[in-house]
Amino acid sequence: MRITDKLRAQNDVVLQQLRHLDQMIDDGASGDVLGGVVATIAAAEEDHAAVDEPLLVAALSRVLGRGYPVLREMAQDHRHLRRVMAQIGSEGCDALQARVFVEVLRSHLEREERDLLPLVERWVAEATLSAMADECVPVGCGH
Amino acid sequence: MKITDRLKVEHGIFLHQLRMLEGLVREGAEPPVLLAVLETIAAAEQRHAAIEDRVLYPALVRAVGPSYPLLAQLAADHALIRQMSDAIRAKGADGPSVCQYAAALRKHMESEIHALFVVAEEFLGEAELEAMCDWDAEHVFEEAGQGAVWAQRGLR
Repeated sequence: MRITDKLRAQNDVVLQQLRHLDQMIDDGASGDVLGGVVATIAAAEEDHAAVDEPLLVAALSRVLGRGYPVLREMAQDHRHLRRVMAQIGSEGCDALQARVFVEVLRSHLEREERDLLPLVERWVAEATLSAMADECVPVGCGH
Repeated sequence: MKITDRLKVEHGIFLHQLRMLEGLVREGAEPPVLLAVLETIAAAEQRHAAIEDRVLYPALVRAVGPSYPLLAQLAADHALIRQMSDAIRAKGADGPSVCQYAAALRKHMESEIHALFVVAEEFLGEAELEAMCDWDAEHVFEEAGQGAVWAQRGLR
């Protein structure tokens, strides 16, 4: 398994859950409920953002340079997401903030799929992509 | 990517989120919050289970025969987990029912990782496992709002 395929599989679940959260916002769910769901989806992002994605960004930076536009945009997305989560953490969650979370995260994942992952598959060797997937936190063992 | 790898990646997300859900129970989160978080996990897990039921399990039945005990057990697990989430939706979420759901789902996923997927990788070829996980085609269907059509495809 390549790390890019692993990220796509993770993104698929998160995007589905973001659609679910969108519906809850439309249905008028309370701030506490929305906050719980935001935190649950954000938890799914943790491995992705903390481990998997930095591996790819580091690999691409070596080839294309840190200032390459896609890499800068991904970094901006992460900063934006961290600000959104910090605001939710300090002020609590409401419908507007939940919607912002959905839009920022969705936009980030779509950018990743459209721009980052194809670039990685073009510039990083297949064997390296597989090794990166193996290097990441083991999935699914409940440990 | 083999379908078994994809399913394992999804398991990783669900297991992480189940730990979050159990943490909310310990913190005394209100029932509506527990229900909403469980729903978020369950909705994604049901799609995951549907892929297994429609694509992976039939392929395994063809490979190892319909009376292979593990297959019957895992299909029964799917039904039980669905019943548990339906019951929580109907009656509301409380700590014990949510924790029972989390435990049942976790046990099921670990059975799949340590037994079912091992059998799948032994009896099904790599090409077949990869064909079951056709990303590009699936995404085309999803983007066209035809996700249900994709899910119905199964393996021909």
